[in-house]
Amino acid sequence: MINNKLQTNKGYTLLFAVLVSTLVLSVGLSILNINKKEYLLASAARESVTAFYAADGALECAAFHDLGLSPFLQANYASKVSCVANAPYAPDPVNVGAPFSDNGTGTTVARFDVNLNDSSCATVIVTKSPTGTSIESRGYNIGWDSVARKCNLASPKRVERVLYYTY
Amino acid sequence: MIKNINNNKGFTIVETLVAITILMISIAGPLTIAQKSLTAANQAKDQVTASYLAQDLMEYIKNARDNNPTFYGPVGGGSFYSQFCISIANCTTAVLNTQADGSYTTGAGTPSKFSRFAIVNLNSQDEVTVKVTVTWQNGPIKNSYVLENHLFNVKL
Repeated sequence: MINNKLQTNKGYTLLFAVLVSTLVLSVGLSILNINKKEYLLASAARESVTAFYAADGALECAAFHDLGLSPFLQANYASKVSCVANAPYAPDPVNVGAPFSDNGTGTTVARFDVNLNDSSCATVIVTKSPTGTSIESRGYNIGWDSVARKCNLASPKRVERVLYYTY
Repeated sequence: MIKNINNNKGFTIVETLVAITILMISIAGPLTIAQKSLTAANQAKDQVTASYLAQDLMEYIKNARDNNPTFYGPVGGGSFYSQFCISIANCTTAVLNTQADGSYTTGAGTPSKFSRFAIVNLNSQDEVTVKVTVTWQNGPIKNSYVLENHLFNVKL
């Protein structure tokens, strides 16, 4: 009888140790999980600032050129827009719709991609119509493709900030 | 009968050793995780603070641009942009102070671990590159956050 009782207690310490381990491990893992989310949020905030200024710089560049020589009405506008002195910019001349003309008809859409610093990228779409001009600037924290000279939208870590400007 | 009890004692010692080993591993693991998490959480907090401090200085410079007609000026001339650093060599890093309410200031307060400077480069008569760098130190590790923007001679 005593023998039997002692036998049933065998493994109790081990069981208890595994139980405590499981509890402590689950607490540790939940802390890690919270921290992972915290880190993701922090990097999203940081990258979003980069994306915002990519959009801001590109918007200013487009507005500066448009309010100056207004090259966006011309077919070869890409060669007339320079956003960074002595640095590559990416003309992506996509003209959509009928050309806007001064007699008050039609719409001209000019689009170009620009790389203002290391890896950030911005896509600018300038729409000129009889109602006015609108500039849409989409800034991305990363994704500049220096070979294709345009924004690579496939990156999963991409953060986008968009600025609209109408006048 | 006595033999049986002796046998059980032996098992318990082995068992206890195994249990102690498991417990040690299982406690050391989560403790390391918790410690690393705390470090990473602090780093995440600092990164967010740094990005907003950089944004703050960037907006200050943009405001200065908007209110100062001679901001762009001649290249190398004594225009407004030259009051910021032109190259890293002559940059003075401004240490930010913490105010009683926890906000950061360039005025009086308790020195914080953040400092920042801006480099304004005139690319052409109508374009400047503004590079704001925020630096801070956590123990021996030096961190920095760089924010770059291009300002054009345009009134939006």
